[in-house]
Amino acid sequence: MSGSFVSRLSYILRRLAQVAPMILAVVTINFLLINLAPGDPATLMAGDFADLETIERLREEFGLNEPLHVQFSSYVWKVLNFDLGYSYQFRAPVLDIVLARLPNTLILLFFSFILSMILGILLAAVSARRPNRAFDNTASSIAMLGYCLPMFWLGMMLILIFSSTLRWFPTGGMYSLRAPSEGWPRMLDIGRHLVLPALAYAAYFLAMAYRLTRAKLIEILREDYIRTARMKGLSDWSVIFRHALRNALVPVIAVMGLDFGVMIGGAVVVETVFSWPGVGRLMYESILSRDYPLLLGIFVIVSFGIILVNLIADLICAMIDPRIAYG
Amino acid sequence: MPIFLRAYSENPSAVAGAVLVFALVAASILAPLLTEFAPKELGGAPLQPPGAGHLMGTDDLGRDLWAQFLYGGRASVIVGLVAAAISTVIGVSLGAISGYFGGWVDDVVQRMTEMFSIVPRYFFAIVTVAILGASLINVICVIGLLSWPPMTKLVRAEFATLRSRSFVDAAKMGGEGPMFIIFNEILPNALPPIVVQTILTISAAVLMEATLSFLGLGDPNLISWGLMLNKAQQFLTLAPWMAIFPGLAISLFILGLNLMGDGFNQALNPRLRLEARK
Repeated sequence: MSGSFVSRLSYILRRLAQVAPMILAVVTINFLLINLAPGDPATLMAGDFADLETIERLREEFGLNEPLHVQFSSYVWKVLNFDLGYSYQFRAPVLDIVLARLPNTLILLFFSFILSMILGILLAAVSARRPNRAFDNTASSIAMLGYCLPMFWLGMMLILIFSSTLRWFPTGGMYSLRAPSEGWPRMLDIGRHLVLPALAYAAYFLAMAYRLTRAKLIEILREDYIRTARMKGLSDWSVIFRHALRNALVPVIAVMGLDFGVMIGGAVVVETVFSWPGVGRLMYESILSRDYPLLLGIFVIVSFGIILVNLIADLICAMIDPRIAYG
Repeated sequence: MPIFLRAYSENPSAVAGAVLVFALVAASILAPLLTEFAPKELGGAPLQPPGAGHLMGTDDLGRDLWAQFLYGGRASVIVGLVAAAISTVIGVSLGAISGYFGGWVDDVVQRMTEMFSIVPRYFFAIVTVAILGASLINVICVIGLLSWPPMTKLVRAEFATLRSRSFVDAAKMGGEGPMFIIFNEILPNALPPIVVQTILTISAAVLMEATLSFLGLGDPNLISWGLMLNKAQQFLTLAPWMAIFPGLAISLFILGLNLMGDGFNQALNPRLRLEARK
């Protein structure tokens, strides 16, 4: 027991040690983007809203007359102190603006992720019990579609069908104009606004979770220990849910964790289509208004978030599957 | 007929995929023959629903949407092919070198690949194109440079197993250099999975191009399906046809490519071929 504990601990420590170079890489890339961009970095950082004085002040502030390595180290220092610059469009520090919008994106991400994982895994279990039969073929074809439809188009079609035609759900935004400001009524109002964006968003990940789990389950159900479990007289369902699924989930969680990056890319388009006031929509606005400090600030914050989520996904996998610790 | 072509043509969804892809590519190439309008030609009544004069209706400026639909496919095809070519060349070369030589070369390439696979591709592409400027070249380069890691991993694994086979030893005994062995001996044997991965790369590139254009980060002078959807957003309830057709085109193109990928995979892989026949 203690041996496996030590090796698990050393895996966790090794994994944690990878975080620092990744953070440095993100900051470096961001620094390069600022400097590679056409034109003077100060003009770029200031965006279209600044006057000459601000630009001059920025040049001073960022030490743009200093050699590059000095600029770089002072930039790294700033980021490590959570100083991500100032948005001239919103007239506020970038960090504050992003943090104010972050909860809205997390609500969307959370519900879509839960929806796609639970439904995807359940459907995969039903499909894998009898592969290549009617249920499996139908579900797999639909999953193929969910995998291929661009999220933003799916979102637009959902609006067309369920908002403009059937009028079941609002076309966008997060609150109604005359919404109650607290308690359950407010939650219900947000919930009604959440349904369509969460669906548009979850479709791809549901398809992905379904395809991964199904493939893995079918592979696992051929193994010897499954035959043993069957011979003990266990039913199909308890074989799948008690024995096979546990082993199938490890790669699924690993891949879905990695795909969190795609998920955040998806947040930009889905939040744009549904006017959901989250970080993705903020990013789109910052592109439209050429608010570069804001755009690059979002880039740094979200990249840190992705590094964190990947770390958590890896650690969860290490906890579910002790074999990983030896790898 | 080669065995793999027969296996491919016996798979109905693979054939359907190929038909979809070739139909859309042909339509975009033959655009001038299929419509009398130019994609940016003004003149019709704005926001006309689909009908006799305009097959897919007109947009807010009275331009023919069928013409835009046809010409718009060119952007997807060009970006898809060129970006996939860039990433295939990078991916195959790096994978081949690292799988064949092993040792420290392999270590360096592996770390690089890991770095690039962690990068959130969409997110990074959006930021880079927004800052460096939205032009066709930038879009192609960004997509190409972000898409190679899966190919590298795949080719490396193939090369790592193939390099210890006896036919490689025979070539070495015959005095062939590493470049000859990599390209003439090992690469042909690793080709099937590379073909499948290339098709999937094209499909991912097409989706990424559409996403960037939808966000207004495509080349503003080039009509594309993504750009059409970007414009359609404001008129979604007023003129749904502006949104329906280009989105359908993107979806069918990507669906077709994925079906082709699956089809090639089954046809080129003898083990899967047997299973499909059961």
